[in-house]
Amino acid sequence: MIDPDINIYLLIFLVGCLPTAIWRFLGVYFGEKITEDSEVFIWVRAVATALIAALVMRIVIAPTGLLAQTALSSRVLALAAAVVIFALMRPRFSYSLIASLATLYVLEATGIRLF
Amino acid sequence: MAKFQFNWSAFAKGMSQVVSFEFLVLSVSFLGFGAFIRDSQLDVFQGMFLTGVVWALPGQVVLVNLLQEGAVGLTIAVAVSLTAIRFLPMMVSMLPLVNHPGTPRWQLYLLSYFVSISVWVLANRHLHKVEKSQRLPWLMGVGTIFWAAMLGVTVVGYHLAGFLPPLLSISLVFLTPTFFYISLFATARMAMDFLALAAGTILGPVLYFIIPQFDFLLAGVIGGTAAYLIARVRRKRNLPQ
Repeated sequence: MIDPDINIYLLIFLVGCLPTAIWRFLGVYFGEKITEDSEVFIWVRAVATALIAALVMRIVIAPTGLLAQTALSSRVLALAAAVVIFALMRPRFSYSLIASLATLYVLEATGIRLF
Repeated sequence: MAKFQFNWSAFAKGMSQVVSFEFLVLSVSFLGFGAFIRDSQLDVFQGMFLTGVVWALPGQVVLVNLLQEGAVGLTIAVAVSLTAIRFLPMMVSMLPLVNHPGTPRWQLYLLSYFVSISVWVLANRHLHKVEKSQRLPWLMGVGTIFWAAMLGVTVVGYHLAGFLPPLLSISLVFLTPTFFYISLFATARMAMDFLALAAGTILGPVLYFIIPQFDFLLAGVIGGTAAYLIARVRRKRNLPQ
């Protein structure tokens, strides 16, 4: 239950805006010190790629919000369908997303739960 | 040193990216966020405010979830901050591409505010086609139009939620993570990118079961560093002695 006495706007600013913006600004601060062809740049790109892949895996394994109502197997299979279709259709994006959407929808609608 | 002038025509060209695949996918996600807000105890204006000042969908969802559970402010701030750490490597990897000599520093900081994963993905796909001096205004155009449009989409999603079948809304929410994941394949340029992608995919779930608070952060640093080192050894080996 949300405490009715608190100012939601101020709270959103303090616990939402500031904790997010700080990382953006730190990124600019450090990013200014490197160049496109430096080794640090290549390393950071690898870290960013691995981090976003892991973030997606987190959403698949332990989602918050509406997605938490779906089965793990539906989410895993939906993502797998997207990857397979993308590999077949590359460089086109759209079919892979439609495949993901359709897989999740059908598995949930039919109630098929593998794991 | 050349006097820096903000290129408004590049800014407008960036804004024209409103007709793009990234925009479509992002819109669908924010429709889902609007629906999620309706489902929570927040009103539509608070939902818009969230989109406007946080501008990072995973953090917004975490914030609303924890707020409803009655978590204390500090807990929410830490959780939101953990989901936003990704902006550090994202900005560091993007900045050398846009940092043209003479660019005022405040413009770089302002730009960073409008960068989200979708904007970063779009930058990875298209920035090399834009002339270097025009990249910052171009991206600023992309970022601001996406940001402004999503304020509206949040409202539309909030009001549409009553009409869409719940299962369809849920399926639409999954489009964004799918899109992020596929875009990593699409923007991978060298073997290292695929190694990093695989490392994050495997290490993420493993670390989630060991240290759930820092899973994707550690998976990023450990997996990314491993991918970089393996690729580097191979690169050095292929160089003529």
